[in-house]
Amino acid sequence: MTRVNLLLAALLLLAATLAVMAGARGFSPALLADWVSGRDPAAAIILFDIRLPRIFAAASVGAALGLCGAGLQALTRNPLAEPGILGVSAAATLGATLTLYFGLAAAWSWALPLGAIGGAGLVTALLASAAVRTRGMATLILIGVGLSSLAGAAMALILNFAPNPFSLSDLVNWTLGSVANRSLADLGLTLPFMVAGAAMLLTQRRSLSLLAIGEEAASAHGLDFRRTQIAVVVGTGLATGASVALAGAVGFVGIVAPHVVRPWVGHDPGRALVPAALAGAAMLIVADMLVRLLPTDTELRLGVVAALAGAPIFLLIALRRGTVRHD
Amino acid sequence: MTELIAKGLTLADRLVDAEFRLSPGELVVIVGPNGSGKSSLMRLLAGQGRPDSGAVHWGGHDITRLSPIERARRLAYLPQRTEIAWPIAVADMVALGRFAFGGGEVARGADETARWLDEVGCAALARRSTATLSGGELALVALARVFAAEAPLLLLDEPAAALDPRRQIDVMTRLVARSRAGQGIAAVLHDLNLAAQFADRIVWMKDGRIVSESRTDPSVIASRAADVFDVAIHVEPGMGGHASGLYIKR
Repeated sequence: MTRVNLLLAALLLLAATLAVMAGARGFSPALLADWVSGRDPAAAIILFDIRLPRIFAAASVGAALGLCGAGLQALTRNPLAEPGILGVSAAATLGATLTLYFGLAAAWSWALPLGAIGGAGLVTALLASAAVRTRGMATLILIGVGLSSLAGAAMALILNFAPNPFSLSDLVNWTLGSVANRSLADLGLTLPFMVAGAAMLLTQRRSLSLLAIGEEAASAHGLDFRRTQIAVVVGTGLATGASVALAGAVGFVGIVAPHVVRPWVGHDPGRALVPAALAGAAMLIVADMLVRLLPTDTELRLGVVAALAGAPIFLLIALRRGTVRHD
Repeated sequence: MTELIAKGLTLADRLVDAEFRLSPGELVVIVGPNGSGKSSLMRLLAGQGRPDSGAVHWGGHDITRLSPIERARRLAYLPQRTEIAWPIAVADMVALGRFAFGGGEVARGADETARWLDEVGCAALARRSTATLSGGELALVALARVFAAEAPLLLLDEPAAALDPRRQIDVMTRLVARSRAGQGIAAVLHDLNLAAQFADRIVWMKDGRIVSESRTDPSVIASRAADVFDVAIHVEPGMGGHASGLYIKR
């Protein structure tokens, strides 16, 4: 298991190194060489103010979404669960766009991350209160789908009433998802929430492994189900809200990353958490690198690439589910 | 060692004023028709859910007030249905039985599970994925998981229902051996033959009530079976007060 983590960490480092060297003119170590020799003062600016913050943003968003997906899947015992499905991402996006729509984000830099986390927190609180009353997980997923649709409808309402084409394009940009032009300050605003959420999820590793045998048997073996449920739901709210605040809506990483690493950890849902985070980080770094390398006139959005690659994989998993016994 | 004592357990439409006692070192078998409240009784005894009235006590503690970990260290419970959400390895599933004993224990359990798998005759399955097991094999692995908890009391809901005749006898023999070694075991069984041959005490249930408790004398079993199941049975007397076998007459 530690071997899997080391391997994935090495892959992540490789992806990050490649991404540092990737620029408008393809891969080139020239910029790194310039910086090391001190020949070109612009090299340091490009590396530390443009490329590295972008790579860190992609990595932290990917890690948060991969971890949240793995945690929610373990909790719901459903390989198709992820923040997007439970309406957490949609609510966070709604919270973020509300702060944009009312101009709060322009006036105060904390408004947007707090709006996104507030939206995510509200939905996770609703989910948690529903979860305390209902024991079935199918109900929880249905409630999430309902909340997701509601948040989508509210988004459409905001777009409908957007005051002018400029703010409309601002709002649309947000829903597409991107890590372009993120500064270290943006990272500083959101990273603490991601770390706090991830820490909450990671405390539940063993409990999530035990939950594989079902709620009743797990609770008989000593699982405090309610505590696990609340920790996972609140941790997901924090980490997903913060990642939406940083990058907008980026879908499917939360499904694909855990799915890819699961066979490497013997399908143990608790042991899949850390590898899913590492894989999610590496996947988004590579996806963002593709976004930068592909020669398109208009900037291609990270969220669009992630969805185009992720949605077919989601469908494949859904179609193949029949071959594995679930309940 | 401490007894598990249930008094006046009542659960709407399922259980009426049930009294039950389980002591270390005994093997109690609970029998009764479908829907007679056996599983509801087991679930409440295991502290899963609260009764409408009445309570289950272990050593002076209300079982529903113990923390899940404290409860799991005192009694292990095998639900009737074995669920497994992910295709994890058999050895990993058995190791989950060590959950209540801390982090290191679960990891170490993965190597030491052989002993519990061996006990249910499934040592060869250790590396198999649980998704590839038959229903009976899965039931045996779940039993090994419950054995792995090594709690002083075991509550087993139909541990033998999915098993072939040989495996049923092996499992019952293991339960007898464990109870002689000091564990208190309560098991729900549908097979009166197994109950008559292996139990120390039989608890008969009907319509949510515990209607009687009996020893395993052949004549008593015959008359209780007639009352509770509405069938006539013939019991072959055997050694030491136990029946050697029985058959149901048409």
